[in-house]
Amino acid sequence: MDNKTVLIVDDSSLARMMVRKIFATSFTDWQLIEAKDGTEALALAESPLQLALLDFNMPGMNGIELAEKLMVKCPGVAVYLVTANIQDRMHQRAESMGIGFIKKPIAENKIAEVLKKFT
Amino acid sequence: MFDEATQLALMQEFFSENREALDRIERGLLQLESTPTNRELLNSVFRDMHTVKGNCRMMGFERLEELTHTAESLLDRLRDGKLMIDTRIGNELLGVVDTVRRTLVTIEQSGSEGEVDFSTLIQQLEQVQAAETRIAPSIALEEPSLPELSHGDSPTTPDSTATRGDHEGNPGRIDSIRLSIERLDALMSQVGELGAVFNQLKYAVQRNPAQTDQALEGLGQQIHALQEEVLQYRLQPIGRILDNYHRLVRDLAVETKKKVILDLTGEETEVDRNVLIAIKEVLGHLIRNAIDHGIEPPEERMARGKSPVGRVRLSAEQKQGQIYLEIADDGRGIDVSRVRDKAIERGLINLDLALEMPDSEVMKLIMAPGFSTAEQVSRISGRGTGMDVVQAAIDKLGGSVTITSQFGAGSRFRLRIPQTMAIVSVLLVTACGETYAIPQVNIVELVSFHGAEVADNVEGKLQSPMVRVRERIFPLISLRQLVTHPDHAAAVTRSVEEIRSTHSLHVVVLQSEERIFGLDVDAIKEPASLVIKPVNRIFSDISLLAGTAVMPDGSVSFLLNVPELIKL
Repeated sequence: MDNKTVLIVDDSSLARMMVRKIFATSFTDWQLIEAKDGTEALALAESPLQLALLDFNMPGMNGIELAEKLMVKCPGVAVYLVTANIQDRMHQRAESMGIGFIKKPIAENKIAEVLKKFT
Repeated sequence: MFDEATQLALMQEFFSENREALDRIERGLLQLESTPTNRELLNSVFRDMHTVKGNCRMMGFERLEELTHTAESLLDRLRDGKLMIDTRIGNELLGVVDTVRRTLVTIEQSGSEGEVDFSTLIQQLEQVQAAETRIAPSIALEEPSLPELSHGDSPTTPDSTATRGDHEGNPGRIDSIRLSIERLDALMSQVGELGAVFNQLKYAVQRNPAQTDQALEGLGQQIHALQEEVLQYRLQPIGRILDNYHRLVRDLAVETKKKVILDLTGEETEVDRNVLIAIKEVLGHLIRNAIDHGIEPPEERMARGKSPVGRVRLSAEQKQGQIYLEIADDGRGIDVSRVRDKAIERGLINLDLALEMPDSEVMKLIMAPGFSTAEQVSRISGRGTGMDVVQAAIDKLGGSVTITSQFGAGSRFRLRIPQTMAIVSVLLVTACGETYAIPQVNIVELVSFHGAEVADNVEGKLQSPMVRVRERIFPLISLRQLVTHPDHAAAVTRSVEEIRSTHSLHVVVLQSEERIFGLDVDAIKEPASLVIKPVNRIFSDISLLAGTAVMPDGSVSFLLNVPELIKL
């Protein structure tokens, strides 16, 4: 199977760890890149990148701002915002950019749902 | 879901990250008590609380989640500037920090939150927040700026359960406004004064004719003040309608499978509410057009070396009584040669004219009735009905539109619309026995030359007459020629010799955008404030006229559209 890469960006180390553990347990064919904020994410991300799971509320740039830059740097990347609640306006803004949503708290079944599109 | 080792590792991370975050929150809160307006610090405290909340939710500690959520909401209000941190709020939030710390210890020892009850603490936090919502409406009343928009038919009541996003989420209705009692009282007192001045006039007319002029002037001033006051009430920030476009852009992007970002600037720009209602559709149409025809599909954009995400910028600004609105996209731009071909094909222009026409004029043809360059008629932007509707709406408002586009790089529609349609300060002039009104905002100065002065100050440049005003030379256009031959650009000036031989020359020096020119009129009359109505349908294709007004003697005068004059 081809090696696929997912970028995880979240300023919470527990949140990153949780996603890392889920992938390590259930989706072992994915390679992970982790970053604690947008700046770090843009430095680490390289094309080809298949998937990006982004927190919205982060220091520096927010998830939507990061998504825009990421889509330029890694064309073709599928971007998901991992959020619990988000203002309508931000929700619409993300949707108009073709960004998907994963509702917090993150869990294996929610990630599995997203990964279906890659098999 | 996980094995024991993984679960243990997660819990360790849960404790250590939360404790670090709580330490930072505590330090931040203490610092905020002395620097309550430090936004950056507030943001970081908010984010840390947000992290703690997220962590509690992730690990399934619901009670802690609820408590930290309430604290986060309170911090959000502080961040918004709706509420200022003080000792009481600081204490409540520090109390949350202590409680979460204690509960973490309990969890560490027993593996669960235990039978803790945070309801008292949560209630206190909510009370502090509610105090803010009780304050808000009275602040709004004292605000000298604007009447609030109503959010419905019934008066809005403060709602302590209001959550984040409610202020921005509900843009309100624009077909009604709310006035504070103070403003209504001010209005009443002005009307009262009006009555008093009227009585003075009545007395003067009946008993003391010598005072009539003075009383009349007083009445005029009072009416003017009242007009100004009421006009202020009609102005609303344009942001009220711009906010709705996020939803429109989202729907269009999803439907067309394009990726789009909408950027808004100048949301605070104030516009007469009638204008606001009228431009709502226009802007919606231009945004629709930008996404449907301008922005390319993501694959095409990437192939052209562009970001897959298209950008639509909507900006508003106010300058000298005019509103400038700009809708720009970074899409494929307008193919001028195709517009030219199509216009010929559709019989909108003939071949000779088409070849002569500058690109900027050709682009305007996309606004002509029955024009559409879209290969496929799309459901979104319709079939060539649309851009002409935009043009018609702008004309009706007495505005104008300029299109600039770079093929392959994007298009920009710049709209100019009067800030208010109701009352305009004008100067009355005459030409050919008719009275015309010129908006005061466009007038630089008035100059009259008599006898030999006329020849001294008028000269020819490439056979066009120029007028000298304060050692500067400006083109001179004749209103008489304009109104008698409005369609022939060649006839808008009198010959240099003809002008130089006249006994007197009256020039209104006008400015539109960056250009200054002289308008030669038969006579300069008095200034006036006129209630302007849209131009009658019969004259609606004469772009030189921006509106009509009924004069005191019952006759009708025309308001000149100065930006259009300069184009001739």
